[in-house]
Amino acid sequence: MTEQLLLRVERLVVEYPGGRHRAPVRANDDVSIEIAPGETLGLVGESGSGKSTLGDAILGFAPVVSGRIWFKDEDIAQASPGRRRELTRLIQPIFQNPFGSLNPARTIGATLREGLLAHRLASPSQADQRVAQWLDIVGLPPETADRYPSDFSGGQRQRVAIARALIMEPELVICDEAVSALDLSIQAQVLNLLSDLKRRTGLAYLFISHDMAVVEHMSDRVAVLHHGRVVEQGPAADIVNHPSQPYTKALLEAVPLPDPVAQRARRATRKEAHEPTQ
Amino acid sequence: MSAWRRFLRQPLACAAAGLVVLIVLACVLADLTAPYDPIKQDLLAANQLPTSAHWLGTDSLGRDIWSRLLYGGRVTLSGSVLAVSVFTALGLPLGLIAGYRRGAVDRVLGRVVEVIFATPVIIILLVVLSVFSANLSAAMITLGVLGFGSLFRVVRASTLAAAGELYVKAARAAGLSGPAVLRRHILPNLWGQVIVQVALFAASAILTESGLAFLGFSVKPPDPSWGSMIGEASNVLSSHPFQLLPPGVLIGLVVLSLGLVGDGVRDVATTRRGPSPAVPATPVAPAVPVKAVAAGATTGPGTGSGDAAGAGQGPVSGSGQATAAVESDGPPADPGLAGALGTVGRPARSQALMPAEDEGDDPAVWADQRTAGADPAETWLTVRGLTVEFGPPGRAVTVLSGASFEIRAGEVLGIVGESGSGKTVTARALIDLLPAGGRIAAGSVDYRGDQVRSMGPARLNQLRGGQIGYVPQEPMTTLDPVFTIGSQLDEVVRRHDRGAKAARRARALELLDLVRLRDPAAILRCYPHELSGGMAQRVGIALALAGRPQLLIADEPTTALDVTVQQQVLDLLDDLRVQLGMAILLVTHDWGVLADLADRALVMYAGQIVEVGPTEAVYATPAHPYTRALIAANPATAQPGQPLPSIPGQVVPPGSWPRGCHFADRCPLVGPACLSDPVALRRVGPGRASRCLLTDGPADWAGPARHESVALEVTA
Repeated sequence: MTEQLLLRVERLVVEYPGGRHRAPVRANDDVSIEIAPGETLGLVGESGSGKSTLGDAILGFAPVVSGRIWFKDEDIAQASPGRRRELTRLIQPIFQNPFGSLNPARTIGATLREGLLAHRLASPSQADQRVAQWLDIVGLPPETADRYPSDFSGGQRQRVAIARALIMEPELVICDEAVSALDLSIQAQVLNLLSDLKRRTGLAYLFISHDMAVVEHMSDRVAVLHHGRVVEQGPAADIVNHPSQPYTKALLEAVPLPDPVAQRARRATRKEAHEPTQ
Repeated sequence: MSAWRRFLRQPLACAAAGLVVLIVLACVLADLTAPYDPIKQDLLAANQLPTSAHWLGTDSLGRDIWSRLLYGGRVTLSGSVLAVSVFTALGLPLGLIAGYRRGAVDRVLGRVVEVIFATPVIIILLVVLSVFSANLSAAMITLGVLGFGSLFRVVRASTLAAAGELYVKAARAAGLSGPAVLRRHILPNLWGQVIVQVALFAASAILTESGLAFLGFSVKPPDPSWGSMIGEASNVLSSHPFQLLPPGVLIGLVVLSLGLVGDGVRDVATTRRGPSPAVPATPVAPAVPVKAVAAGATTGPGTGSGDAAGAGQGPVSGSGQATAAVESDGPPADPGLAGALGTVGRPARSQALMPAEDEGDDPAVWADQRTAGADPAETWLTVRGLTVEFGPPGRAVTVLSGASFEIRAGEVLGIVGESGSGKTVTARALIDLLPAGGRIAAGSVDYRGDQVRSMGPARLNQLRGGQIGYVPQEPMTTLDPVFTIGSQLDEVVRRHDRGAKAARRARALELLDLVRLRDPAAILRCYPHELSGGMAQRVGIALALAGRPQLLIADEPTTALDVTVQQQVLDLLDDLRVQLGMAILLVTHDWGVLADLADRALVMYAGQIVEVGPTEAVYATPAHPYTRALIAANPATAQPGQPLPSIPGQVVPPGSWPRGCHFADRCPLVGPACLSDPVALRRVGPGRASRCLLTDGPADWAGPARHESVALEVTA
């Protein structure tokens, strides 16, 4: 069972070094999570809960103090820079901000080719073919490759970011708030695209978001992060329907319901609960 | 390259660059360009003023000044090139390494540069020249070494900034090696600043060489250099002052020109990259077949991000493409619409259905909107035919087209829509606070009997922040980081309550207490960076409440906040409206936020109101296909395991709006009638209206959902 896991994070501690007058910041404190091949683990929490740090640690961008990050049979928590570069083929990120994650001075095609060429996965002409193929898969026309990010809207750029991550055919994709910056109707398109790609390629996602509704929709299992610690972890349906921790409950109830009647009833209950304490 | 083209658009910098190139070429080719041997003496022709034989006259030994300048330039310029080469060879790579690697390397290099900066340049140069017996090359190499710190610092700082960009992180995550990241992603950001530094340093190297030559440390006489010529001319300054002029003016010109080139390059480098030249000058959107649009594959010009951008920068900086489309396929300008709306409420226009070609909204809608509430006197804000344009007259792009609605006493009206729908522009137009380049082209805004558009600046200022408060989206960026909350709050309080300092402080504390901030006295002493996002937004609300507003415009007040903090802020707004009897105009992109707070919902799409009505009714039976799709796309209501019902394609950018229904290219129900003419807002129920030809009312939605998943058009 254990050897079938794709990713196993064990008692991970991440600390950002402090300055002369600042104490170091412990962003992840004793975090343990697991992801099986083809599984989506949702990671929720407020800003500052350490969820992006966990993604960064898996990608090798965060200073790991102790603990292990098992990727298949290898502990990558302290991997060398060279090994890290090799691992980028297997672990890819999709970042939140589609406006910052694409170099404005490079064409979409150059950005998409970059990883393929760095890993010598394709010759330049093969790379162009792969780029065209992936632009098609994410629903963008082939001439996109010759244009610059400034020509595209947020939703289109996020499709490019998805293509950049998946063109490497990774086994694990870390979606760090990948749809938070998008409009609702575009968000739905991108979420569907991510689900569809997972179905077709069998990759696994670590899906990081502050939005419980999005996480619930996307994830097989959910881990709730609070002050750098995992406070609750389990199948998505269980966490959503029977949260055992008050923090999880608060997160769930904070998502406004689209039904105004239900939402008003919920607010009334919440206010009643708070009234005596004030 | 567009950078070249932008540089070429600056006449002064281009002329300066041309002059430098010309002078350098003339000096390099001195054997051809100089009419005389520079050291050939002709004592009979000594100390002449310019003649036809000697264009710039002769010096005290009768040598041709023009020829000596050209040959002398070789010495001066080659010395300068040597210094600049050393300067660049040290400053650029070391700056890159220090900025990218940081840590110990950075600290060591930083200290070394500090030490070099502390050394007196001219004294070191004189020592070097005395050791190497007046060897100019040695002096110029030393100058490059002593000067590289300025380039190092600039490159290091820019590298640090560029290395923090998300796309650099993404490139590293794609497996690029350090040198590849530096070369492809960081270096292109630096060339502008490097050229500026190089140009300035070249100028200072020329001046230094001239200074050294003047002191006699450069070439040995009789060989010329620009500096030695100045030295020679100064010997005869009292009798023949003209001889100082040619070398002096030339040095001045070159130094000035290098400075101007640097200036021009800096302007080019700091201008943000616009759309690529690959973008055709014609509108892209209409050129894309409808099928492609439906598949979510448009490649139209950037529609801009965020609502303000969609409305503001989009059309303004955005593109001539968008502008061009207005004339070609947009509806005729909308004064007719505004005119039609001006007649609202007159009995002559009260028929229930409008002819299809009529551009105006159904007046019955507005009569209905009014009477559906209680007393018409309780309508605080009445907006009719509000139309907003961006861009210069004649090429203006309409971003909000004929919006009409009202806000009643104590109600919360929620405006919901996506980027580019015009919701933020609507909110800001109400208090005439449009971003630069925007203006109200037509329509009226009536605040309790006063026309906002005809108010003078003083009255308008009184209205804003007075009767109407405004809560911006990003509280942190609207608070001034250098002043305490106390002083920023006091500034606003002072405008409304001219009391003693103690009274104003009491009012500030009261306001902070009103927005439920614990320990208001401590908050007054805080600087904005010491507050969390939620606290900053509460301060933002307190600032808006200082003038005791009757109407609060909250523009995406919770978008930047976590869900739990969002809930607290929404609860606060709900409490405040009850406590203070305020009306609230809530602008949001999140239907859930609207459902939480708003009594009535106003749905906007591509610059138009597409549906309006009581929130519960709109949610239960959305009349417009867009409203229905928007509610369905919410993941909170999605079926687990099923694709989310998404809307294919994307919002049509302002300037590319079709003549007919703006939602037509994304609508599952679209028919020929939708495309031919503008669609009017029509009454679809008590207090409800919808801008759709095909749905006469909520009843139309009975039966199986017609807005089936249109999720993905992914081809294997």
